[in-house]
Amino acid sequence: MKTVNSSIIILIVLALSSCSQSAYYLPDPTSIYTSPFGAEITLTQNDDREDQGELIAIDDSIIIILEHSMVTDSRSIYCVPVKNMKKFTLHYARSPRYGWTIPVYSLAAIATGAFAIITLPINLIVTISVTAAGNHAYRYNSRNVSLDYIRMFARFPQGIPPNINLSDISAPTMKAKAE
Amino acid sequence: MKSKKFKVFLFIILAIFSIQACRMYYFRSDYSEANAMIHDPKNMSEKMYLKAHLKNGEVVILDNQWMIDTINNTVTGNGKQFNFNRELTSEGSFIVPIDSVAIFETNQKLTNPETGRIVALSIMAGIDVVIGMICITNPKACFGSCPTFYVNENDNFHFADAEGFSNAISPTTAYGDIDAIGSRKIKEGHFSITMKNEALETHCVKEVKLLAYPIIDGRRVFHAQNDSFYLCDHLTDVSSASANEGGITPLLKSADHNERFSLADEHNLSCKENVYLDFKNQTNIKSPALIIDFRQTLMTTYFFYSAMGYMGDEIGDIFAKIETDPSERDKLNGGVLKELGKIDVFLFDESTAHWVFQGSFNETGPIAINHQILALHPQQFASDYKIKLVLNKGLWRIDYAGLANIIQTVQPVELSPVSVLNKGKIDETALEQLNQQSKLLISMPGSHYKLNFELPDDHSNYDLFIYSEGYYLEWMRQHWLKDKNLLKLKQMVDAPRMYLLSETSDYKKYESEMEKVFWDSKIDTKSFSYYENGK
Repeated sequence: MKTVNSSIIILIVLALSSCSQSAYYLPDPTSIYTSPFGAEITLTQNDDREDQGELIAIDDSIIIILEHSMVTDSRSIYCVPVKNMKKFTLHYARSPRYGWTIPVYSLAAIATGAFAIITLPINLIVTISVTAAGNHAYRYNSRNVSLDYIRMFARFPQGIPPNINLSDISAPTMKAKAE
Repeated sequence: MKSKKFKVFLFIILAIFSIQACRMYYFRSDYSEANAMIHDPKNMSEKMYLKAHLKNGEVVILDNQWMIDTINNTVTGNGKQFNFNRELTSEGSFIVPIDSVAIFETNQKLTNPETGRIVALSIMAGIDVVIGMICITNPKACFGSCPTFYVNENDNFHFADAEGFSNAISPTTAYGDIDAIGSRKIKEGHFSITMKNEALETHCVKEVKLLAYPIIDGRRVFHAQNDSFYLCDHLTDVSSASANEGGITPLLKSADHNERFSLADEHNLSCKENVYLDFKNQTNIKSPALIIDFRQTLMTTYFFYSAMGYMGDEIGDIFAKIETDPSERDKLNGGVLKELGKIDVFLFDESTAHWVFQGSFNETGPIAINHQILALHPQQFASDYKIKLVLNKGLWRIDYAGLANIIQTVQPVELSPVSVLNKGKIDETALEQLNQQSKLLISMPGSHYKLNFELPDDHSNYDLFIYSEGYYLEWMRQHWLKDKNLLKLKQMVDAPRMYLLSETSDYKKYESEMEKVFWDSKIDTKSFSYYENGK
């Protein structure tokens, strides 16, 4: 029983912890048509090194990612050879946050007294799955789409224009995001 | 078992999660030629936003009114233009030469992507609100009370075999309570009973013992209100029974959980009613005793919760007073409980044509059915017995009525648990707490302890009783605080008749609903064997 209890706690913690903050430049699901930025990619290389940032462009041999730290306000451009790519996850819109529903609905279920025997597990099933599914919404990964498909989600789907130096590409600003 | 349930739980979560997570949207398309874009069937059904990624790295995003001018080879429309760093450079009308465009991007509209999740949460919220409202208005429909005991640990509270010390609501009101759990076949001397806390209460259990008396030659042992045990034979079902509504014999003839009960009076909650029982041709009975299986409706619990509500935020002070002042404590036995009364038993005396009071049945609690005996004292030998039960309308449920012949009083053997399983694991501490009078086993909501007993192995059939001693602390609910009304509380204690009269309309408003909610959730049918139903 202790195992079961701890497993439920682990499930809830996982559901809550997976509420990772979406990148600030990602649009709401209703604004994906008008966002000028690239999607957020998390790319794992064959040596398990992970790069995460805005997808700038993909060409036949290279994937270009712009990493930006809001904390240090530093930016880095990574060019990862396609052949070194092990897997990727692409996040193209902000994940809706339903984590709050787990404690709130659980409390509501507890308020149903003896019926909580039935309502609490159902509430947990619904809220944990909705939260977890919400956290994983608006994503593609290498298992279900090709690299060629996600090229459309780059800032420059046409590839890096010849007139632009990679060093000149700056990270999205909050002002730009607001616009 | 629990692990299996958890696996099912986990499976359902993963299934729902997978179904939702597997939903992929393929909404984006891009075109290196305008001609291909305008002729793609995907873009014909609706006009959508257009992103023109320019060869110089800029992007123009046009709203859904854009047009392609095939003569001038331009795209026109309203929108915004961003530089390669995605800073807004201009806004308004644009004429974009197609030659300057590297890629056109269109996006099909995602139709209500959050609908599924929102609907799921809304349905769940609706269910919680409806049940929550029922629970707020009908607390007992949702909250059990006192420790419940189960021979079959997987039964729910509708099939509780006993409930302990229902009147012990604070430390000084603690008492020992005996409940019959019927005749049981014992295998290899082992017997287990599970004690659960299914309410928002803290249960403080001093002691739990099993009382056992072997069944020989079909003779049975019954427990009386004064904690005597009577060895009986010639147990007979009621010949006929009637009440205000007419014949009720089928309801009382067998212990089948089909109970006779009435609703409270519409004008006065303390209104009484009569139930008549006839036992005919009982020539074998020399020392008669009435046996009934009964329990309360939700009425007393309603008043208990009302009292707690009336105490409001002073509940701690009032309970402290009850603990420290014996006169305050005595008031608990008076007030509404006294006014509602017990099941009073009268025997008809043919010689004087009068009903003669014999005694009363009483046990607080609406969950487990009590099986009790009351010795009758006829003025002269008779073969027919006419019995009248006088009881408060809407307060009692009676499942069975029978007559038996008392052979003698007996003393069952008292057995303490030899081991305790706390959620499947041996709990030595709990065993020590139950077996040492100076210690308390604290049982919190959701707890369940399986108590194992060893019976003398010289018999295989026993009449069993559970003795439980302790008290419980009801948890105050947030929504009760607003009901604070110390005057009502005083009236409840000092002028219970007036209180019951004034509460009639409020109680009647939801009585039928409360009963319905509570009992309609009864799991359809359970087969009761001879050994389970105690008869």
